[in-house]
Amino acid sequence: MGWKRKTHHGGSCHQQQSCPSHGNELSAIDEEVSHLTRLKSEPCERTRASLHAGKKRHISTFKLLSGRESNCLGIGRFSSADCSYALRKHLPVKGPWCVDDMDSEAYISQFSADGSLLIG
Amino acid sequence: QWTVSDIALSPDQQLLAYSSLSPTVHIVNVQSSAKESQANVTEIHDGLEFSNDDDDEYSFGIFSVKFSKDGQEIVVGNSDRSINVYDLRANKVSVRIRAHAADVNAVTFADESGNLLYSGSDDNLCKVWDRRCLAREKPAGVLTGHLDGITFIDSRGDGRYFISNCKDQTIKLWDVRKMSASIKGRQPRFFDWDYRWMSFPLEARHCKHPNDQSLATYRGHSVLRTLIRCYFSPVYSTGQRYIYTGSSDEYVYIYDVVTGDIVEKLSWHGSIIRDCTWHPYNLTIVSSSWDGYLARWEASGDEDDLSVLTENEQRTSPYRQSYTRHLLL
Repeated sequence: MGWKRKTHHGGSCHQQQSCPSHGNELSAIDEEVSHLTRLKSEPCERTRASLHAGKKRHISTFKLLSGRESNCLGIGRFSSADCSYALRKHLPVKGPWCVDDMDSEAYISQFSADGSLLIG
Repeated sequence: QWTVSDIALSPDQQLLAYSSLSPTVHIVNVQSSAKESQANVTEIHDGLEFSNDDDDEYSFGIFSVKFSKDGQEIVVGNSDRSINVYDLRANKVSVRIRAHAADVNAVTFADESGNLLYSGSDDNLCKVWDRRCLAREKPAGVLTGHLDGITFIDSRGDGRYFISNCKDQTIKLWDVRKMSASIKGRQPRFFDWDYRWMSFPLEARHCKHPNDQSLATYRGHSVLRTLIRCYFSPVYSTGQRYIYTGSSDEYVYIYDVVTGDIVEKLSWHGSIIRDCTWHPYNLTIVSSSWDGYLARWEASGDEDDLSVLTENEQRTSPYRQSYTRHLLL
């Protein structure tokens, strides 16, 4: 039995204007890029509905986990958007640790596409 | 001899290309190189010549190097206001575009196909180039909105959106479908300053471009003295939710794409952070600074970890440290 996920069909995206000083510039932001970004980094409407979370309400990681355990999405695991949402509280901001200590200015640091190499 | 201005790794991770302030891009085999730099002296670094043979007198610097997704081509932006594409199979420059009215500081492929290019220049413009129709060196489109030279461009990878860092102390988000065929009106010149040794003028902080075509503007970081870089965060761990950038006020800034808020500021470095990179899968950022350190930031870590860099290890310049050591001897 194939599972079909309901997708967002052109409903309005409500902008979060939590930063008033940027309001003028960000109120003009394109609906589409905002919508695309949310689709890839926030739980879908079905998840929100099953967790009784409103459109703007923050969903705790605990609720996400309990939703997964009760299989509310029907796929038995997090979607990539759910993963991104859960990781919002775990940005790489701790440290830092020393990778290299050079006797000249460091101009460039880049990971390779698969993350196995660092060039600096 | 000169500073390395840019590096690029081929998609198969076999070749590393690097550029400097000269018309040559050097290529080295990554897999055979040792870590220590003295081993690199013995490596054969092939040179890719980008200057015209006809004009030996003239020389230019290269500010940006990128591999195409299939690894067969390299695109560069240079101080001769041009974009060049080097065909690695034919071993020659296949495309030369007189792209801008000033230095081309940034150029990148828009998506996987390699047909679309984005470029940014000190003439304050971002341009879109379609290699399938390069008639009379006219761009497919122009995007206005920045008030000063563009320092870096990063594509979202979908051939539609990209971000640019700029000396007007902002990052702008662009949709190429909003581009215009030509520049409307006269280019505004609000202020006269040089970002290499001046602070950004206060009266310029609130200027707006009358024909701004960008979707969003992100403010808070600082772009002074060098071509500071900004990127979209990775797809896998963040869904490209964030934009992160180095800054000349010694922080790494992380913005939320949707809200424009500064989500985090990474603070430890003692000098300008020109570049930083977010691991494509793990929750790791590495920042590179003019204090000589490459520093690694993680999402988790013991507060009592003794290997964490402390304030005692901070410095503003690697040279000052060396000089002090000499005095002590």
